[in-house]
Amino acid sequence: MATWLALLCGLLATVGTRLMLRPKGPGRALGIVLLGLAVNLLVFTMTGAVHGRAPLVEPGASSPEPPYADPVPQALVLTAIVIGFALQAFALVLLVLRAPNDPDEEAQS
Amino acid sequence: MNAFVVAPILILLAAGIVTQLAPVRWRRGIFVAGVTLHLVSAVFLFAQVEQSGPQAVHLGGWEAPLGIALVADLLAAVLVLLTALLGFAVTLALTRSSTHEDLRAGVPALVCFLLAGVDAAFLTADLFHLYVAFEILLLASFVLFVVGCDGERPRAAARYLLPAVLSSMLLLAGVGLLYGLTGTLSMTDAGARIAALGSTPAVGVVAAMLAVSFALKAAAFPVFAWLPASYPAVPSELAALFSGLLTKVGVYALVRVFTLVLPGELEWMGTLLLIVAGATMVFGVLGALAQWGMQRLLTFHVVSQVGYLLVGLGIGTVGALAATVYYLFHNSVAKTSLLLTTGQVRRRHGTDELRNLGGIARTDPWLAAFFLIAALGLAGIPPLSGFWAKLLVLDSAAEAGSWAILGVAAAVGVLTLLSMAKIWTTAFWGEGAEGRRAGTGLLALLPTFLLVLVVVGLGLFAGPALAIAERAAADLLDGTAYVDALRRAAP
Repeated sequence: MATWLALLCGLLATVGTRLMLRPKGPGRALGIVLLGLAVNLLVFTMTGAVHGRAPLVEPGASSPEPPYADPVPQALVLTAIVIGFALQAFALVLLVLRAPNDPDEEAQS
Repeated sequence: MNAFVVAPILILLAAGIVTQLAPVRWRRGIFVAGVTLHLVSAVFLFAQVEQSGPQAVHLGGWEAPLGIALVADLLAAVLVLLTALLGFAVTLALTRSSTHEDLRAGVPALVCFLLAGVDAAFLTADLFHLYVAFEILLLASFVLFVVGCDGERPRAAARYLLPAVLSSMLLLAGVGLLYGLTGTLSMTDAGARIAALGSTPAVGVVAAMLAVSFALKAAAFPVFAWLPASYPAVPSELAALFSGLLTKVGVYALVRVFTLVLPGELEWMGTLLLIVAGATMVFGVLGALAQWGMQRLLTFHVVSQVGYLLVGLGIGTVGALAATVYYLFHNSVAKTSLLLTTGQVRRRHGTDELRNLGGIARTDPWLAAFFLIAALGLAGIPPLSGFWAKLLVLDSAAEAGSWAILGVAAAVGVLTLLSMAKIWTTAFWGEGAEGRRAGTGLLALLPTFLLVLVVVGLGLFAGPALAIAERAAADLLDGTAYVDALRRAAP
């Protein structure tokens, strides 16, 4: 599981970087989205991909029984997704707005 | 709960929200009131930290690793004071230059949020919170870039956006990896666990990711090209704010993280940092010399000055870091002042092209005088602040035996003077095309005057200012005061 996630992370980062390096056009916004996904996935799986073990404390115990899915990276990723979404929305508007042959830009300049 | 530590951030967030909700005609007033209040709170915070040592707050009453802490040590307090001072001056300039459209689009709120993000980045003791603070200030600056945009600005904004986004992603990935290694996000805890781990390859990867991310934000060589490609397109008042603060947050983050969390990595990164610092200085100043637009020239200088700031961390002694702290404060003030002057020139003459300007010293003597003082300050002519700043950097380089960086820094100093002389002789001296216009009004000169006063003051009272910088640097390298403050504030 962890290996597949790592490979997926690398693939997303590669494609995202390649798209961001394009000289112009809205493809770069897509690059930002993909690279953002790669980073989120990296943070999410940072403490290992634990399946089906929620960090719940059983009655009588003081801490959940290991191994359990670490909730902190999930909280981080949730925040990062929200921020990233705002950023990607802005980037999409900006990069599409300033794309070459954009009628708005030509009219204004 | 120490209210002084949170007050600067809360005041700005409140001011930002209130101006946006208020009718457009009240926005100027609320904006100025909020930023003034922020300045007052920053002065109180600085006074408190200066007298009774670092202050900390555990937000929500939770200690790390569950909660997030804000810590105002002397460095953070000085930088919050700098933010407040620059924010105040730029706000005064913006209230005059903003059109009704700007106000309606929410420029005051955006500036408040940007300053809040900068404050949060300086005060936080949590790595993920640092990322969030960066995102707050970046998002505010992105929108400021395109508010009331014309043809050139979306293009410049795209040049600014992509590297900023890339650096944020590197930061997030680095912080995520660091969490995987240490299981904590608190800077002090992570520092302790990294020290126990030693310098493993994984730690090196984290260090490299964070260093590249912060270098991108600071516009250091070789990732500086976005800055001179984007800053010239925004109005000078905003460029003044960005140049004064944004790259400095990157330098601060570099200094903080590599003294508190990853000090061990400086051993191999120190020399690399010095090479980067030297190259940043040289490329920045050469770029500046080639420009014929005032704002273009000055924004290239932002890059060049970042090089001087990195020398301190590269050498890593108390004296060198003290030089960085003093230099950072002086440089931000001088640069902001120069760009505000550029704003005046742009508005009065409709251009900042040096070839089309001339004789401003005769038509507008006060504006010219303030420009001259700030420019000489930046170039490092005694007794202005830049002289002491440069002297300290050179002195710490000599002490460490880094003769190469000393030579580069001295040569770049001369070139800086040359480029300032270029602006002075073409735009301010010589024959003016229009000699009939009256000088700029006193009120319009107030923000520049305030900043010039600081440049002169920092030069004349260099002793006390340096003592503070040295204490801040000593605390930074020692680190126990920071940890103590966190423990004392524990709920």
